[in-house]
Amino acid sequence: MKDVPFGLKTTPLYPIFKEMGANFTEFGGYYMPVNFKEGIVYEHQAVRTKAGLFDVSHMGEIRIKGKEASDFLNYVSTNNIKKINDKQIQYHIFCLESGGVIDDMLVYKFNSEDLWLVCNASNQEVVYEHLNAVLKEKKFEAEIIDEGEEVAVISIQGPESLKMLSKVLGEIDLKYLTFTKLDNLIVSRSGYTGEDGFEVYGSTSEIYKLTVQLLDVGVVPAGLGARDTLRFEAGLPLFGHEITNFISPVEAGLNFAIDFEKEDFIGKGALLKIKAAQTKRVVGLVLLERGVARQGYPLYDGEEKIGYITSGFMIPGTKDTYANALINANYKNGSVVEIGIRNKRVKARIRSKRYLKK
Amino acid sequence: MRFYTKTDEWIKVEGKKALIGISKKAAEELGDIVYLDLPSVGDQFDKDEAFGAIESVKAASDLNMPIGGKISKVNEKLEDEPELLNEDPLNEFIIEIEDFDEEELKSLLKPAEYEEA
Repeated sequence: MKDVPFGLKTTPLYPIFKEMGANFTEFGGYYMPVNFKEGIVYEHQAVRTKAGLFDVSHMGEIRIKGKEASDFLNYVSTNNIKKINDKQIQYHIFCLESGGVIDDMLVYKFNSEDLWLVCNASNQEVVYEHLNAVLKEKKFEAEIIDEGEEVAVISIQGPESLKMLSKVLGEIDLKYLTFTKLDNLIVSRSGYTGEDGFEVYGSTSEIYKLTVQLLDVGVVPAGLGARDTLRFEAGLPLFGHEITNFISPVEAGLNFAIDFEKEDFIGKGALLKIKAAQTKRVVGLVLLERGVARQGYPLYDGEEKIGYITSGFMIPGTKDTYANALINANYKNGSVVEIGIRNKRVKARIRSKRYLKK
Repeated sequence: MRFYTKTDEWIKVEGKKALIGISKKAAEELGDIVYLDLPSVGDQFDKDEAFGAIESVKAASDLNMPIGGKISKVNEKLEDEPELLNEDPLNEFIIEIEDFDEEELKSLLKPAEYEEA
């Protein structure tokens, strides 16, 4: 087994996964399991039919506290934290003035003056710097606390996740997108797989202990590989793919997370223009011939280049091959286009991005 | 005797033909193999040229020619059952070639050298 490559961080669960013989990869500055011995197909199906466990301790946690914490968040984010109650969770997107995306995240509302942001590992420093820069300029009455290093997180996902987690933590009564404190843990009903699931935050020692207990009762460990195929199948966007510095949430079809009624927020002007112009959009594709379309592959209509692939997989355990693509918005669902895969052209039909059949 | 490339293909000469596949290490690192993009019989490739691609769940990787030659056979079983390459990579060939120059084998790695690399 290789040692941790120079310069990469590990999460508190690394020793457990190393012992299990996981394959590791670099991700967002961390050395993370990409898959375990049984492989991505097994892990993907375990989450769809039973329960899987992901280490998501690499994600960033940032707290915003203070009298104007909610106003501050509403100014940097597209969504509106004032629309949810305490102990609820909301999906947020931070945009550039251009409308491109800085990052997307879940926000846990402890109360209107205490908000907790869980952002992508690779973006946590950018988000932290961005928040500080905006705070300095706009002088909201709020403080920003980086809690990323102290917190460990696991995500238990799948139809049996409630049953499995209850075996270890006792009875859990939570609605989807809400959270509660359970001793020193924070437990939320949330996830990124299209299944029922939970995320548990705590100190490194407590999450380590909980992980061992969950693996003991039969929860299947899963890596970043299955996390990607699961979120893709469920139609969920991934930063760096469906949303980027150059693909806005409007184009990505995430209008549900944009409150244009708010007086002002960063990117509002650009997003309104993008919304009115409707020149590009992110669509789903079903491949009509053999092949797998990967990020960056071009889309064609005859000789004209009309877009590119943002993500693509053969759904694990099936022969169904789908892809997401950013495409000229003239092309409607049902149209057939061609994907350039190496030296070939493969036909694909435009459809919705949710491939999960349930 | 089997020879290896630095890009994890193997080649085994049998008379006037040679079989080409991928190493055990490659199969393990790729994880679940889901699709192979293969050439047609009669196609000609140079040494180190990509003759096809292998798709795992995660990503696509090129398949490279250990030596130059003409495709004489393609393992068609792999079209429907690419997972056979995960199960037994050393006994499942991907392509068979002919019209090659055995001199080109000299630049390849012997099994012991490949293990160490």
